[in-house]
Order: sequence, then C-alpha cells, then structure tokens
Amino acid sequence: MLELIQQIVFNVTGKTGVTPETDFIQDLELNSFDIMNIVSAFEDHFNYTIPNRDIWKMKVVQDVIDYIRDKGIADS
Amino acid sequence: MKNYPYYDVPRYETFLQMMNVAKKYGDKPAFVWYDRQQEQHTLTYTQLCKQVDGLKEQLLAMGLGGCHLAIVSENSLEWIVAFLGTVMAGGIAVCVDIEQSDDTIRQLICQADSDIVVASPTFHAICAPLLADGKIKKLISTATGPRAEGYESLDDLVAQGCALPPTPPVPKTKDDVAAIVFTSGTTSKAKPVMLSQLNIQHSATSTITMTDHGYKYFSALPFYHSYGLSCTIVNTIVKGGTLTLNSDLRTMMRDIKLAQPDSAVAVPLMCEALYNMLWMVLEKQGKADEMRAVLKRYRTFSRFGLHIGQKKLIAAKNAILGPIHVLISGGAHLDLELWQNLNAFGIGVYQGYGITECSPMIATNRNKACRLGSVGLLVPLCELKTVDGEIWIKGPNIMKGYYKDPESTAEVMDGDWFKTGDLGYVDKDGFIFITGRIKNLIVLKNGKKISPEKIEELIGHIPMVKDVMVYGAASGTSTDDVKPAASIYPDPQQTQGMSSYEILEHLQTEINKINATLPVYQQVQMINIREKEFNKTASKKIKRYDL
Repeated sequence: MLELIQQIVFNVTGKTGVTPETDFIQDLELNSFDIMNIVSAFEDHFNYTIPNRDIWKMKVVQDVIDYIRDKGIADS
Repeated sequence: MKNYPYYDVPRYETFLQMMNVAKKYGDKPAFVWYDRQQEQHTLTYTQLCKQVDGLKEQLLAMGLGGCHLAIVSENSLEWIVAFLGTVMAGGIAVCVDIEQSDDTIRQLICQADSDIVVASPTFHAICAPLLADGKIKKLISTATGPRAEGYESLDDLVAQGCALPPTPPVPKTKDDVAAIVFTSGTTSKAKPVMLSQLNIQHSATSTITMTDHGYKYFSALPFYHSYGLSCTIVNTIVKGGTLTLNSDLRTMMRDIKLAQPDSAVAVPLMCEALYNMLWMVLEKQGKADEMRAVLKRYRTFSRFGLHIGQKKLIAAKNAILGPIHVLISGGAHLDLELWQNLNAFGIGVYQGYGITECSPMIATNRNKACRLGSVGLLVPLCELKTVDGEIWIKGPNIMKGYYKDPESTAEVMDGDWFKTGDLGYVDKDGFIFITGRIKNLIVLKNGKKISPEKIEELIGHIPMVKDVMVYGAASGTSTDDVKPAASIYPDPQQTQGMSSYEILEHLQTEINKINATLPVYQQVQMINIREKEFNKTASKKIKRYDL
C-alpha cells in the first residue's frame, strides 16, 4: 500500500520520499488541487468514491493506509 | 486608461422582479452540472421557475413562509432551488459554510435562528441532533429515495407545492433581508451578515455590467459565500446566462472541458490550476519547450504593444481549455506574473475586490479598463473614501448589519459608511489599489481567510505557551502563497530544564490536537520558537509587524 501511495504522489506531484509519517500539507506542501488529484487517482485505482469530509481527516500517509484498511477497500 | 460606459444589463431591486423576467427565458438552460459518471444534468429556466414556485407554495402551505431556512449542502441544483424558494416564500436563506467542523455547522444553524434545514446526505447525521433536540422543526434532504435516509426530500416538497393552486407573490421590499451569510471576524465567532434583496441584486448586476464575460459561465466557488451566491447564481439569472456548477475539485478540469464556458468566476488558486493544466498538457504533447519560447517572445514584445506569437498561444489554449477567455478573480490577491501569462494565452483576467459585508462587490477590473496590480474600478452607485488610509464604502451593496449583533455592526459602520479594514488608495484614473490590512486576516491563495486571533486563543491555552502569534508564512515560490504558522514564546517556568527539541516536540503534539478540531485550511503548518518575548504595545498587544 505504501508503494502505491508513493507512486501516486509521484505521478501527480513529482514528489518523492513519502513515508507513513509524511504529512500531505506540512511536508509535501500540497494545495487543495494537488490533494484532490491524488484522491482521484486513488479512487480510479480502487473504484471507490471517498467523501470530501473523509478526505480532510487524512493528514498523513498512515491515515490513508488505515482508512483503506478500515473501509475494507480492495484493489479493483 | 479611462473608464467607459457600463454594459447594458437588467437591473433589479428584488428577487421577485428577477424571477418574473427569468420565466421568459423558457427552455434555455439556466444551470448545468456533470455527475461523477459525466452525465449532464440541466435545469432550464422554465424548470427552475417551476421548482422555485413549487417550493414557495409548499413552504407557505406549511406555515413556513418567512422562515429561516438553513442550506447545508455542497453546490447543487437543489441548493439553488432551496435558496430561491425560501426567498420567494418571504423567508431568509441561511447559507452555512460546510467546511467547518460538525459543531460549528450546528452552531451557525442555531446562531441564525434557523427553523428548517435542507441538507445533503453528507450532512444528515451532523444536523440530525438539532432535530432531536427540538432546535429545528424539520430536516429536509436534498436527495431522493434511499439516499434521503428517511428524511422528507426537497423534491417531494417541490412536487407537493406544484400541485397547489398558486398564491400571490409575497410582497418584499428591496431592503428586506434575503440571506444570512457567515464571515470570519477578528474575534472567535463567525459573524452572520444580513444581506438584503437589493444588496445581492446590486452585486450580481455589478459583475455583469462592468465586465462582459459572455453567457456561458463556469464556477466551482461555494454557493454559501457571498461571492459564489451573488456572482455566480444570481448574476446568471439576471443576465439569462447558463452556469455550469461544480462542487468537487476532483472534477473541475473535466467539467470545464465538458462545459466549454466563455468565462469562469474563480479565486487565484483556480486561475493557477487552469494555467498549470495548460502546461501539463503541453508537456505531454511535447510542445512545452516550443510554447515557452513563444510566450517569452510575446512577453518581451508586448511591452512595446506588439502581440507577436499570440495567435499561436491562443490556439494552444483553445485546443486544451476550449473557448474560455475571461476569468473573474477575487477572494485573494492574484500573482502579477500569472495574470500576465494568462493574458498572453488570450485569457483576460479581471481581478476584483469584495467583502462579504459588501455583498460582496466593491470593485472590479473591466475588459477594456484593466490595470495590473489594482483591484479595479468602483462598482456603480457606490462611493469610496479613505480615512487614515483605510477604505470606507457607501452604497446599495452595504449589508443590513450583523444578525442580532448591533454592537459588532456599530464597530464597522459610521453612518452609512462601512469600514472595510483594508488599507489602500485610488489612482488618478479611479483604479483602486489595496496596500495592506488593518484586520490581521491571513488570506490564502484559495480565497480562504483565517482569523489568527481565534487560533492564538486556542494555542494560548497550552500551559507551556506564554505568548503566541499566528501569521501567514511564505509557502512555495510566490509571495501570495502563505500557510498558517505559529511563533511561540514558551513560558520560562513551565519549560525550565527542557531542551529546544523537547519543547518543540511537546508543542507539536498539543498543536496537532488543536489542528484536529479545525478545518484543514486553518491548521497550523509550521511552528517556530522564540527565545525572547514579543514586542508589545502599551495595551500589551503583540506588535505583529514589529518582531
């Protein structure tokens, strides 16, 4: 899962060095469009729609990993 | 560069006048949106008027004419119908900021004495406690079928109302309050701004009488802000145009391509996103280097009034972004470089200036009267003066006051004059320039504004914090790009024996807890520790600009 997140972040923003503790806004300096583009890439990969209010609760990469696990979202 | 006559557009004082004329636009599309599957949904003027009338009749039949109806929803066709139906039933639409926390959303609903809430499914659970506690009379869903989760749907109300015999229009004057919109003040509570029928109509007309931006518009601006309300929904109806609305940044670029609008009403972040999109596609096409050279040549020669290479730039823009040729930009300062580059690609960018308390339009640049770096010319029927450098405004755009808060209203008014809190001047041709703020608001590139005092109050409760100042720290390469940061002077007694690293680590943990209670854009992203106390005024306030 971490590798997938790293790949998507790189594809969308060109940024590398993502770890589970990486904060999307503080460390990667992403703006709202960058975040939405990353979310879109995730949604396309998993064929799953993530509500906006859930998106803003995910601050660091680990939050995304936990969310996907907790929601039982599987690769499509 | 001089001003020139206003474009001839209808001018209304009340929503009834506007909707009576709207009926004549018939089957012309009024509002369009695309769902996640790219399916187009359209509301024609005939359908819009019928649904608005239906909701009006049903609200009156339920004894809810004149009610306060809170709308808690993403941008949608239902949002528009709920707003207009409420106003036509003689009520007041309460436009709730949905990016706030759950508790704040409930607090805003109650602060405006809302009788009913119309909510999208995302917000059912957040609003339901108010129904359970008897603080609101009804919770209506914008959804239908199973997605309405058992709540009455707006569609049902509209259908019931359409089956009723029509009643005479509810008489309202131009000075009657039509909407309550929330703004961030310099204290901890959001202020409920009362906007009259004329306030909103005046702002809507101002945008289209001062700038010609065609008939096909696009906007992703939230409707619950006065900018989105007046300058996208209402001005579309006034002009008889077509607005493609977007409620999800994920599909914004896709929707622009589908809608092929003439213009977009935006904030600087959206202007930048469009520009970046252009270059991303050019890179993929292998044309980026060539276009960079063309752009550089154009920028060099345009200083001498020569437009060498612009045809090529415009052709590239048309192929990627479609016919869009006007961007109305507001909410925050627009980067000059971006402004000039978009112009080079044939997209006229017209920076404007507004404040919620002014409905919001105060000034805007115009198609043939545009001055880089300025926020444009004053809107019609208004007056401007500066008092000790601060811009004061008078005119039909000034709010009716803050709801149930005459003290706060008195602080910002001097007779009919509204004190903007912004510093600025007017040049010899009438162009307005903003030079600073008396208010300490941090303005983000996406138009969002942060009251530092509110966050400072939260951080100040941390025992080891003696003093704190929240400010906008530079982020990225542009000076317009800022992020919320906290400068903290730790309490010497509380931190005795602790290393700087330990202090920082502890503060980060505490601030993370505070951030969890705030909307994302307000969250502190950087902390720095001061070794000496802040410079303060005689009344012990931190001198923000004297660090």
